[in-house]
Amino acid sequence: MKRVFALMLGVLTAIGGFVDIGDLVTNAVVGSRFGLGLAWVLPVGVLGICVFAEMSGRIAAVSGRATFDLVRERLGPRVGLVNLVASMAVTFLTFIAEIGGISLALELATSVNEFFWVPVVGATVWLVLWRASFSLIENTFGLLGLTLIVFAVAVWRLHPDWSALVHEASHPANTHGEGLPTYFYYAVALFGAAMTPYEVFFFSSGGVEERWTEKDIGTMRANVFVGFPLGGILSLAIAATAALVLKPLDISVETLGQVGLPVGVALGKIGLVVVLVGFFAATFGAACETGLSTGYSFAQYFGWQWGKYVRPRQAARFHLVVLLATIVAVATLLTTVDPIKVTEYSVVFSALALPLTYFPILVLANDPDYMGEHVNGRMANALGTVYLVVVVVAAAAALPLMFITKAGQ
Amino acid sequence: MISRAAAVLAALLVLTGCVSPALGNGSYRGKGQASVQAALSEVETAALVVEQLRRDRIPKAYADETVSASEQAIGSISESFGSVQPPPQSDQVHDEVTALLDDADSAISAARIAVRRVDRPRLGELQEQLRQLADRLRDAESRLS
Amino acid sequence: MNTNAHPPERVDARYHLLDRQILDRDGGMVAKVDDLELTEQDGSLTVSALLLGPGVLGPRLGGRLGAWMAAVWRRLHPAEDPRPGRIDISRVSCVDSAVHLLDSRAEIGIDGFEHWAHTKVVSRLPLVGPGEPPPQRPDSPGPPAGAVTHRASDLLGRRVSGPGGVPRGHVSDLRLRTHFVARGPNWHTAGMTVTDLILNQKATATLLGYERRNDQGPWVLRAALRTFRPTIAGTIPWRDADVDWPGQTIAHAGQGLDEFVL
Repeated sequence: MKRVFALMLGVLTAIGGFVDIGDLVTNAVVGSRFGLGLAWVLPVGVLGICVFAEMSGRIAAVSGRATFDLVRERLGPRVGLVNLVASMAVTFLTFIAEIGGISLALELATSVNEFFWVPVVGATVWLVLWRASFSLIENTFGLLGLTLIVFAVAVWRLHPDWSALVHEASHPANTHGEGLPTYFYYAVALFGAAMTPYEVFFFSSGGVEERWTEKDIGTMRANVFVGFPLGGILSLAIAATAALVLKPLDISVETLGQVGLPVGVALGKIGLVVVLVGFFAATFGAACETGLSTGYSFAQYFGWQWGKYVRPRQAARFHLVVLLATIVAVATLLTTVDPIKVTEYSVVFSALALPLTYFPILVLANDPDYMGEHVNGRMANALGTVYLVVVVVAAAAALPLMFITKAGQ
Repeated sequence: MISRAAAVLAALLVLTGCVSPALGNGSYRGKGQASVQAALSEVETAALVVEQLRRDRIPKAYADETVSASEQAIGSISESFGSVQPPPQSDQVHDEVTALLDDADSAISAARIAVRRVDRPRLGELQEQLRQLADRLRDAESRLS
Repeated sequence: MNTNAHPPERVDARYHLLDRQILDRDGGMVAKVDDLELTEQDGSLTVSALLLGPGVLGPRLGGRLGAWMAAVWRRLHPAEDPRPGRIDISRVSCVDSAVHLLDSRAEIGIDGFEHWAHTKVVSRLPLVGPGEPPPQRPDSPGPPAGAVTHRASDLLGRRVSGPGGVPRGHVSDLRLRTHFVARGPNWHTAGMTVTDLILNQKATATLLGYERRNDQGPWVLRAALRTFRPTIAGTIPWRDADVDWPGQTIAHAGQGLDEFVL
């Protein structure tokens, strides 16, 4: 019974924790501009994050080592350091976007200006990372994030022409009046939003935090292969609401407020209140994950003690990195940079940085010295190889497409 | 090698970010069309919010913030279009787009005022006005393309 | 009385030891193996200590960044002529996906930077809770007086030539033999000796493992990497290697290479 409960909890938090500011914004933008014409990217991205997370989770369970331990061991200190800096730049950009997202959600709820909220949110995020336990963070925001199911309810309540939706989703050739480069630029953005590198840094480090062993591989797989796809359905629902309500009105999404509007149309005030809770939970949870990932990754590269499972005094440098990251993120947001713009760039740079960590994880998951009998099976390697190609193609295309389309304009 | 790549990257970012002078008549037209398209998105957003608030289907704070964001956005769309020097023979495009953007700006400002006051009769009028404006913008957009 | 089979005797310095996490007796994280201290004694070369910290990591990184890292460390270190952190090999209990030590963190002491972060920042933050920092690790005494020591990174990448200057390849790894002692039911590391040099055709050998094994998946990656990176050329016994320490080369006295075995 207790096991069943733990399994349920894990799956539910995986669903609720799947969506972050990148998914919220990118799915709504894409839905409002392309309808469901880019919906095919979501399953590609979701299966990709499943494959990536399963491998790194398995490595963490078998060896007790997380992503940047492995990156440095397999790529050496020099390439490992370049990799660390690049991956942390992207993760930090996402961290900024999440803190901005929380502030925007609070602004929508209270009408009090975002810039008042930014320092308050920064301080609160830091305090949570400083004192709250790992499982408290993961469970609270994971479960609260389930409120985003309201987007799926809204789709249903909008009484769409289901066959038309399916038709649109299954005919990706239609670029909806946008140029082909723009279409592919948003395909890369959507892919980067679904398959963000920090999710894997956090997932594998979380495995170490929760002291997974080989016995936990089954539970871990259930979380990944049930939780992530269901979380992906929430992303799809966000895109669908935008496609149903905003696209016919020629509204292209540029603010967080616009992301939630279709739910208001479908479900009224209550719906929007639930949406705001969902925005807050999704962005706060992801802010914690990105903030911790920054600390985790630096500590793993240099060998410092890290983790929420030890008292803060025992992991001083780890907490120093988290504190500095929070301060710099708040300072960056106070320059009045638009968090939505930061988000849009962060998902594209995520796609760009993905191969840096995907590649060493794929190699290590095949290393019998490390993994013993738990090396990748045939299925994991077939998928792993296909995704190595996908990830490299998306990364190679990201910058050229960004320049050609002037970031999707 | 890494530092050189970074320098090239930075240079590219700066170039793509800053260079947007509209030179010929064609590109000025394109700029006008893009501005109208962007304005349409903001006007429709405001119309949707006004309608939802009138029917009491949106929290007031949410409505206020969304319309205020649209107001800010239309301001910068106006400003960015206005700052481009129109090439000769493009005065008609300039005048038409400027007039539309000005109308959009004032309609959304009026919407923001009514939303903050939750002035229902006024919200009704504004909803109608914003929808008509949206139709004019759609019209102009298809003519400019 | 000893119930467990002891861990593999054969360990490769670069593949299994360098850059690996060091854990204390209780699983607490101590540092990374930033380099290895090797001691020459009667013609044999043994691993005498794990070396830690930016002072040894910097030189391994190389380039301007590496020099800068080492310089900053030297500058910030309280000692006049700081020595890199050093953990004697006799304190290692075993090596698996981490290097496990016999001592607790309190016994080993914490890094100077960790101590600084603790006293100057973390302990002054609100809600930190009671507690004292663990003692700072005392300055390393360095290797025993009179010992002739080198670093593992001094050997890696060096060119090896046979009689008459025939190129043999570059040192890609050091094969070590671990000596174990029984303590209760467990085996502990008593020492490690360099037995062979593993040679690769290129100076920039990978650590990915495909050069070591024919069967590491996925096959597409294996096939792709093997076209770029030649496999391990072979090994030469340490006793046949004549190292010119201040120079860059190693002379190999024997005929041909031995086959590499896992």
